[in-house]
Amino acid sequence: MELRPWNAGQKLNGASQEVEQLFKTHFKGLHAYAYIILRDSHLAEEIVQEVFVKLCERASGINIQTSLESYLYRSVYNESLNHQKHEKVKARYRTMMSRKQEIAEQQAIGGDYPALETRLRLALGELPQQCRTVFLMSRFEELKYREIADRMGISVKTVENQMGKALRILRHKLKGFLLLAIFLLTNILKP
Amino acid sequence: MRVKEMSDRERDRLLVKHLLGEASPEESEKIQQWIATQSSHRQYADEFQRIWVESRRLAPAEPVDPAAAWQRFLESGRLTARSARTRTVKLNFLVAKPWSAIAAAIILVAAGTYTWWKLDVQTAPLTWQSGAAIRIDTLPDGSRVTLNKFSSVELPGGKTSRAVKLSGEAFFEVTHDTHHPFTVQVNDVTIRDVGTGFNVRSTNGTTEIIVETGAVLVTAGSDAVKATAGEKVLVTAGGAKITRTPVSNRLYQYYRTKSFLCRKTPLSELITALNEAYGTHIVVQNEAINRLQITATFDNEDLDSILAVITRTFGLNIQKKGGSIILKP
Repeated sequence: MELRPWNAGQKLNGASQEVEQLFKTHFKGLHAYAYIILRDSHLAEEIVQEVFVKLCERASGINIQTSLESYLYRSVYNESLNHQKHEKVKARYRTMMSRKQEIAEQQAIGGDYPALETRLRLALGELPQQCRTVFLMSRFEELKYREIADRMGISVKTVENQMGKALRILRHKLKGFLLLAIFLLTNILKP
Repeated sequence: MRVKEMSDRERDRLLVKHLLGEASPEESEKIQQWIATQSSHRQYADEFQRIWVESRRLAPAEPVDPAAAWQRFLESGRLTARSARTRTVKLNFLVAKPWSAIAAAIILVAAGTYTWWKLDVQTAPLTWQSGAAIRIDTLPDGSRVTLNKFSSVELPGGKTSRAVKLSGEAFFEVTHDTHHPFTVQVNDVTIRDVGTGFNVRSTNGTTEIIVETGAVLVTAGSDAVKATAGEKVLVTAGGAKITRTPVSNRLYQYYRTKSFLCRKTPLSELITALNEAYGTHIVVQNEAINRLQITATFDNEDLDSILAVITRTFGLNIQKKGGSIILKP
C-alpha cells in the first residue's frame, strides 16, 4: 500500500495551478458533502472556499497524516459542523413558534419522508472518518474504486472493505426507516 | 455450501461491489447465489440498495460546475486576500522539510564563516545607531549600551576592540576586564571605565559624564579627572575646562528608565528634560518659576499628566501658543 503523505510546501502558491486543479477536482464531492450537512448549496460552496483558504493559509502548519483528500473531506466536515453549531446557538434565540412552524412545513412537504433523509444524514456523519470519505467519493463524485484508492493513497481492497463497512453501518442505523422508505419509493415510482 | 463460509465483512464487500458494478463476474455470481438462498438475504440486499439510492438524494439537486465555482472563488477575493500572509508562511517551508533546512543552515554558516574570516571582519568597524527611538544593544565584549535618540556608537577597531566612539548620548554598562580597558571617545574626551555604569552625553561639543556605579577616568587633552558613582564631569568644547560636581538630579536617566526622578529639582532642569524627551518647547514666563523646586517621580507618564501635576503643585497656568507651552502664574 502506498501512502501519499502530503508535502506541505508543495501546493500552495496562492492561486497557483495546483490549487486550482485541486479545487476543481474535489469541488463536486466536497460541495455535496457540505450540502448533506447544511442543506444549502450556497452555504456549502462557502464552506468549501473556507477550507481552501485555510489550506493555503496554514500550508506548512498542517500535519497531514493520510492524504490531502482525506484532509479536505475532514475539514469540510468539521467546518460544516462548526457552522451548524453556530447556527444552533442562533436558533435558540428564535421563538418557539417559528420553530414549530418549520417542523410543520417540513411535514407538509413530504410527510415522514424527510425523517429518513435526516436520519441518513446523521448516520453519514457518524461513520468513521476514512469510511465516510470513501463512501462520499464513491457516491457524490461517482468515482471508481480504483480512483478512490489512488486519491486516498490506499489499496483498492481497502476501498472495497470500507464501502462494505459504510453500507453495513448505515443499514444498521436506519433499520426502522428503511421499510418506510422502500414503501414510499415504490409509491412514488408508480404512476 | 461454499457461500455460507463467507464472513459478514466479505459479504458486504461483495454486495456493494456488485451493487456498484465493480464486481468481477465471479464475484457477482457468488453474491447473487448468496442473495438467492434466503428471502432475508434478498431483503438485506434491497436495503443496501435503498441506502445507496437514497443517499444520492442528499446531494444538491442542481448540477455543480467546478470550473464556475473556481471562478466564483477567484472573484470572491478570498484567495488573494491572504496572499500577503502567504509570504510569511513561505519561510516555514524549511520547517516542513527539516533536512533541507539543516543542510541549508550548514551551508550558510560555513559560507558565512569563510567569508567572515576572508573579509577580516574581526577588525572591520562596527556601528550601532538609533533613530527616533531609544535603542539598547550589547556590544561584542558583552557591555550594554543604551542609545538615546539619534545617537550612535562605533567600534572603529572591530569586534575585539573595547574602544568606543560616541556621538550623541548613551548609557554604558561595562563588562569589566582589567586587561582590556573599556574606553569611550567623544569630542576629544576619553572616558576610561573601571567596571562601571555611566552616562555620556555630547551636546554642541560639551561632554557630560555621569557615573552611576564604579568609577571612570576622564581625559581631555593633558587633563585627567577621576569620577566615581554619583559624580558628574563636564568638559567644555575643546577640552578647555573640566569640572567635577555631584550629580544634581537623575533626570538624565529618563530615556533609559522612562521615568523622571525629581528630588528638590529646580523646575528648569525638569523642563529641559521634558523638552528633550517629548520634543516640546516648554518655556516659563519668568525666572521665579524656573527656581521652583519639585520632588516627584513620573513613571511612564505622558506629558499632559506631568504638566498637570506641575501646574497643580505650584498653582501655575498653561498657555499654548504656536508650538510653545508657556508656564505662567
